[in-house]
Amino acid sequence: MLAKWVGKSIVRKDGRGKVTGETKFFSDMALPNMLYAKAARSKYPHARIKKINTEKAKAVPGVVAVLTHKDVPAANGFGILIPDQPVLCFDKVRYLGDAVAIVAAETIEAAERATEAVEVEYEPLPVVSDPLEAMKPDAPKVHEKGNILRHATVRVGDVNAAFRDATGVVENTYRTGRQMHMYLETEAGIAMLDEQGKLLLYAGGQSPYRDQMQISRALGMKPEDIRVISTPVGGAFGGKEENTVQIHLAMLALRTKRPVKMVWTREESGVAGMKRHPMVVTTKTSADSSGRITANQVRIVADTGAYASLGPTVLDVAIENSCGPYRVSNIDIDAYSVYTNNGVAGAFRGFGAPQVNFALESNIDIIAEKLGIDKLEIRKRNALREGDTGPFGYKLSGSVGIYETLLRAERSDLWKNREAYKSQASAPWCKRGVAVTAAVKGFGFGALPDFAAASIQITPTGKFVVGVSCPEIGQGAVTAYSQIAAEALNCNIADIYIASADSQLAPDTGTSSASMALVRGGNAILAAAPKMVELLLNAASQILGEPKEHLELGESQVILKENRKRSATYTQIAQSLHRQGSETKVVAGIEVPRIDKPVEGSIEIPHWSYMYSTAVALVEVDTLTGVTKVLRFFLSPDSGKMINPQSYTGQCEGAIVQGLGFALIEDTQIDNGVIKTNNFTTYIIPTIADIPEIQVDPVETYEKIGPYGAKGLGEIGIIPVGSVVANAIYDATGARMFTLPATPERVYQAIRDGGGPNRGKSDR
Amino acid sequence: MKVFGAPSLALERTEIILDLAENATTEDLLRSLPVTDREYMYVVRNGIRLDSSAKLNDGDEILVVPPIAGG
Repeated sequence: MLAKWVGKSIVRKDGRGKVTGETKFFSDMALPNMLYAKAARSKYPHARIKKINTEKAKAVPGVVAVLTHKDVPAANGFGILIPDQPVLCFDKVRYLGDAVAIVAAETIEAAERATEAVEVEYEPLPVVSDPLEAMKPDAPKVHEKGNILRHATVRVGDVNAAFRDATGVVENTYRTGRQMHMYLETEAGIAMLDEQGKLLLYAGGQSPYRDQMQISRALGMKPEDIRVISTPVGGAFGGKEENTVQIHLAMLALRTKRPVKMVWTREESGVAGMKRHPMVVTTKTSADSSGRITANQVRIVADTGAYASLGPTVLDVAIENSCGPYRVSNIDIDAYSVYTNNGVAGAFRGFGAPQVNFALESNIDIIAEKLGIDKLEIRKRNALREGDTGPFGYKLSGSVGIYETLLRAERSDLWKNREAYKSQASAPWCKRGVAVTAAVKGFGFGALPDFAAASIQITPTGKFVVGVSCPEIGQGAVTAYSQIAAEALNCNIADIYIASADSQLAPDTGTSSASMALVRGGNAILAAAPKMVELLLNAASQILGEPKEHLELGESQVILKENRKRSATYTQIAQSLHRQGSETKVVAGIEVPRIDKPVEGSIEIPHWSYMYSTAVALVEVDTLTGVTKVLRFFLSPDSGKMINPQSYTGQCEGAIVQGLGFALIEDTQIDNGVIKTNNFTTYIIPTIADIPEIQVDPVETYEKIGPYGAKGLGEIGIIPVGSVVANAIYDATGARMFTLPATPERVYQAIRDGGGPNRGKSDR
Repeated sequence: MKVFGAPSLALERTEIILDLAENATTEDLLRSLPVTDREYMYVVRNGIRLDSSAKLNDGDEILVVPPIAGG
């Protein structure tokens, strides 16, 4: 059957409102009788709290409530995996974003004055801001249990034997920056009590049920007494997976019994919000004379900041991605996630993968050059194929399109004509380079259990309300869900309404994270749709007086197979069901397929299936200033079948642009625990002027566990960007980048240093 | 019942068969587990998360899992 809706570039349902500015985000909302909330945050990156006095804050005119740790009703901690971050600090502060008190007031000005009036007596403690220093036994302790949040080792085969027998061995240390999410809407929300006295929270996030759980844990309330609505969201990228404003708002609404709004300022978002883990990655890679990778030894140190958040699993993804989409039979990985006083690092698009991809793909480039092998060819020789055993010793279950993406790159105009492009530098002192790199990432939670449910209800007018709790976070999920539901129910897409991201209206579909919202929500809809079809057929059977077996779905109607003129429209069926008081709603769920025995030493490795991509970039480097401009970018992703080609391309383009920030300019500067770049004046992100000409050439493998053959997509575009830009800079100038972002200063210095130590210390 | 994380560590296994009273609920099931924070465990039947008052049926396959996330 030809698909009517799936695979088509259906116009985004949420597009018009967001493009025109008509969409009202929670930070735009104002309610009658609403209070404004603000958090009093730490004055020190690391200090002991000796005394907290809120008397002066409470006396500020307009202040309605000032709460401290004494007012946290139940568990004073949050964090998805390990709730080690205080809702309100009581004994210590561990970074400048730590909240000590929260205030609700009649005006935002009064709330601000009150937070300034909160008196806290601190005893400053030594700050630990370098993760390598933090690992030393005598380092100041961020947490009493020590500064190592997680140490993981994964070993397969014998790397030492492989190194001994190799033709080329390269070892280098790479460093990456602390990228900030910089969503257009900062962390924001409104909480209130509804007319029945239950807590109602509007807060842009990545899972209403996850937020509900964290609020429930801190407030000691039953989850079902808390309704969370998480959409619309003005950007998330992983940074709104963790609790931000939610628990504070819930506490203040319960205390004041009035609507309370909290919107973090841009600077507050910079200080208190999540960041990408900066990593120090030492990678030793070997190959035989034909360029086949024989071993990879990796040491990762990730700066997770003051609290755990998702640090343990970010480390797992870094481990899993450190060997890339390649056949590597000997691996030795030693990875640490380390507490410091440098803010908090957590989930960020790529989840640990872009950092290690930069290291491996740089090493492969160096090896290719030493062995005299074309840089695309060496990747083809090593690329995983369908049915292969992956680097961690498990057979790949899902579709594997990496080789095909490499072929697409090879055939791309940019790669075929790279020498011509490189010869067109805009000035004699400008040099151009082209590079190719490849990437991989699992979608979903890997070996961890994961489940998703969706509901479908037929309205009295014969339309469908589809309940999916994964929020639309800009990725096009609502439109994709509508396409899948319309396809499965054989109706017009205009007759599908997605009740999204509302814990009261939709069952728990899981999170919009891990490139998984489409697969979770789509599969859950496809599980619920047959139940709804069954309901429609039964009702039509009654209306038409024909056995169910003689009926089938037509377009927005049920028809008699033998006489297609006899039918019951969905509207007639709906009216009949509602008139009779019959069931009009179905709910179904799925458990996400997984390999339930994780690789020894890991939490979630392996994933059932992976996304893949190959990137080619053309850069021009001004050798007098070090300024690098990316002129053209080619990306061939394997994200399975496309549900919506336009959304797919948009996702890839967005990922590439965000990756350019990681590659060239973005790195939150923190000096001894004090953030120096907390707004758009000092923290620069790519603008339209920085965006190259982008070509996206999808490889559509069919993924059997995805809806209509789709995989995840959100992260695979960003992962190869840092490595391909760094390698293209080398191709242009001979200067190897060992640190990202490749700022003008770093590029200029690397050129001045004669290319830097680009041969690797153990190269043969 | 399939268990993961803290419950599996406490029970030293990943699958157990439970005998519960007739009309037992999710809450009853969680009370039978030797773990702290049981009220924040997710109880899942056929991919659908159950609330604390959901009634369990003979032969149900139930997954009990703590709040988790990966990437």
